[in-house]
Amino acid sequence: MILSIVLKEWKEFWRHRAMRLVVLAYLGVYALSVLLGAVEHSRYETSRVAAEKSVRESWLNQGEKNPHAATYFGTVAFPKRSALSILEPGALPYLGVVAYLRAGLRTEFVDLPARDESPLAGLANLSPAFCWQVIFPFVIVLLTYSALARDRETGMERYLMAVGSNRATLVFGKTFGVGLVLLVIYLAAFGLGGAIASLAGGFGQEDTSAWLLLGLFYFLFSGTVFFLALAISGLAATSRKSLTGGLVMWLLIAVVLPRLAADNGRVSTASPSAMEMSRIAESDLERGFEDRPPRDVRTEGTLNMLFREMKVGRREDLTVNLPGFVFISEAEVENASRGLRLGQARRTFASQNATMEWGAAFSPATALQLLGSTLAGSAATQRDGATDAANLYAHRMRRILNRELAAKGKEQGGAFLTGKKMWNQIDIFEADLPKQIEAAATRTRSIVTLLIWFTFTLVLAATSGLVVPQLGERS
Amino acid sequence: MNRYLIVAVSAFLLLGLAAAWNGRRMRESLGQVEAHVASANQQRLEIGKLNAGFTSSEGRARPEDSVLAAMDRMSPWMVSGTPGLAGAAIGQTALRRTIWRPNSVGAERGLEVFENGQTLAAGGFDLAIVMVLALPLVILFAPRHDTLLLALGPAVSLLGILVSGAPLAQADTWMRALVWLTLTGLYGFFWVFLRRKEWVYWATGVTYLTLVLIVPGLAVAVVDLVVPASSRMELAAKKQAALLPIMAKTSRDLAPFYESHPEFVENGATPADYDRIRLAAEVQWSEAWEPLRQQAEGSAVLHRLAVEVLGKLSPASILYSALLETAGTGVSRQDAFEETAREFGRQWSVALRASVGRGHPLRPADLDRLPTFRYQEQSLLSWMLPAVIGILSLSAWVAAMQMTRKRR
Repeated sequence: MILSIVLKEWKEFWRHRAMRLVVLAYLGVYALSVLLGAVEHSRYETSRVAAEKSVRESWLNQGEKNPHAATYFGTVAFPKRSALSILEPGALPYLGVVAYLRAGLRTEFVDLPARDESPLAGLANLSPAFCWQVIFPFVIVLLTYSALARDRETGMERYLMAVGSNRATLVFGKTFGVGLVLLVIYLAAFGLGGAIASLAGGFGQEDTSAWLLLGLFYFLFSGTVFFLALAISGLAATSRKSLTGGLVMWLLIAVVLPRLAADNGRVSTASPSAMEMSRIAESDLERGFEDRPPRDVRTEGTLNMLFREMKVGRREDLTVNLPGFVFISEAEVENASRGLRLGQARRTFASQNATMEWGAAFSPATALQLLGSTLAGSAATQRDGATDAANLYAHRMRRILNRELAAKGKEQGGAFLTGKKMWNQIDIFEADLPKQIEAAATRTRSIVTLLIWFTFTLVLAATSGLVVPQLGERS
Repeated sequence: MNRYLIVAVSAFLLLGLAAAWNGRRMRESLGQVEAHVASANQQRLEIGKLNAGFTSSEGRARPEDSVLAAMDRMSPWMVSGTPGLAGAAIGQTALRRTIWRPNSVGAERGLEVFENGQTLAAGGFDLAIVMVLALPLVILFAPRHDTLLLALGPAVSLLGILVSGAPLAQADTWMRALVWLTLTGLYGFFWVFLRRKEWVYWATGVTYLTLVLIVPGLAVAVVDLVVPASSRMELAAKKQAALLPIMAKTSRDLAPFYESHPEFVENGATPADYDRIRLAAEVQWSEAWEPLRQQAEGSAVLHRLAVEVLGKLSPASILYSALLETAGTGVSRQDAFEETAREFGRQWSVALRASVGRGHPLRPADLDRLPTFRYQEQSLLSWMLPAVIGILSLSAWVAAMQMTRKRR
């Protein structure tokens, strides 16, 4: 009996020309979004490789310079993106793409692509992830709202019960019938997205595993929305009420609550503003921090240390270049200050993300956002690895160049010049791709929340379908 | 009145008030940046004065500093004020509000936003989003009561603006609020005229989805594809390629100062020499960099303009853009601020060069001659123009819908 209902639902759906059009339109929009993502990814990679080549050439051909002067103009680092970010761009538009590796600058990725974008991108950006999180749930509501409500409204349900049908059979038949249609759309979109992204970006082993996991999370999220819509259809007296309820659910789950969860994160623990970070950095260097004394005392300390080690009492008697040693010591202090303050800022962001993740308890879309972006290596926290690598690189570069000055610059001082041989000793900067599976494994709260949502709504759909029709009968 | 209608209207009202309350919290959080800037400027001035040798009570005076180095430590940071209607439309304030600083050749963007990309990516929940996304749903699916539904947008907007913490004592706030109400009113008219009795629910749903989400998304995507903003990575590479040769030329001249350390001056060079060489290098650098910057900014402006034009295909994107511009959280207010900051930078550089011309060391009278930056609210025209374009575009859509309705 269940099979007959499933088949009837399946046939009826595909016989409906308008419904076929809706499905095709959704798949078309999704495929287009993946294609656009692939073009953007390819453009980014081409641009990154060209820029890397150009800055390397600039570095090697910068001419003769004092090694300390070279640290002021340094070089530039660009982060890599995983191929899976075609499907899940996550926070990438809001993460900088350029890090200037220079003395005296806080090394972080700046120049956010979103700043060049129109503010309209904040309303709708048509990425594949947006399709899964916002558009597909809307399609689910449209295809599901009448599943149980219409039969009740038209009296078909009573008729079927009168001719001996079992309520459970009816509910499960309807559920599987509509679910099967949605499963086909899900599989088609998921397969299509993976195929295009893989062809365009070249999936590695990590990407493939992450993509399969992503599929599982899309399934859990879409399933949750489906069961909720079905539950509403089971509870509503008319299909109009069912549709209204479904749309309210969509608005809350896909639009309002994820945004509110993010805003809650931002408000719960205020981000240190760029200004505040800069002010603290200036103060750290000038006035000292933790057990580090003020700048003048530090310079005095370096001088005294050199006097002791070289057993001399006057600056003129030193056999090494004093500024070179001061620069080495100051770079260490700057690096320590940067590490300390960046660590504090990251803890703030981690706390914001945790608050946002708690919001997933009210909206599974938040859990999907966090899991999807983490699996694709496009979560904000995953840029930390590249930032750390850039900081380490900049620090090593400064140490090598300042040591050269300290050791060889005594006679000529600032006029001491070095050239291509020295520049070649500084390797090219290359950041690794962000870890995807490993990072996603840390999002246990999101995974558990998504599983709870799926299970809870499954039970809700089943109960509402089985229990509530009695109310309908009374009416 | 229909119970179903009462529920729909109440739900929309609650959603609007919740969004306004959330916007109020976000606006207060955005306001902290100005306090940080003021505090940092105070600290910079104190450190700068100490280092310039005006006060030696802490024993940290550095009178050997060059005028340029001393002024660099004192130059004030500049930031735009938090817009009055930011609580109603948070928009991209946190993303776009950069912090500027004057230098010897003008002004530069000194600091970018330091925000959690994850929270920015999720977008904000504000009154503008409720108007754009939820109002059409209520109009399309609630029972027909045209007068009430038409009044819903402006009425909830007005309440929301009051709740969002907008400064009501300012005339500017009321003028912006009036434009906001007009825009939401027209948007309501569009959806009321679009609604068709004969439409089945799913057709209404698909129309909503297409006009509110797919067309705006497509507008952004198509423009990204056809007229992309120039790559920031390529710009950084060009910047580096232009910077290094210029600095290589001055490297020998700045050698006695270890590039930017006049405190370690050698070979009898003076801080005044440092100022002269450095100033010449910065002018050269500015001349090389300015065309590159303008090209990149021009490309971004063209990109945004193209999105704006294509976005006119959807009343939702028209309303969203116009509401952000009206609230001052779109692009025009930041552009106006940047223009003011550049103008201040020009004044600062003139004063700075005059101080350099008077020679070392920097005197208290030099500080008195420095201009003071005061934030000026954007001109009426700069926000009114996009708002009026929004009103006209929405009116065109309303007229088109009314005509098709009459024909039927």
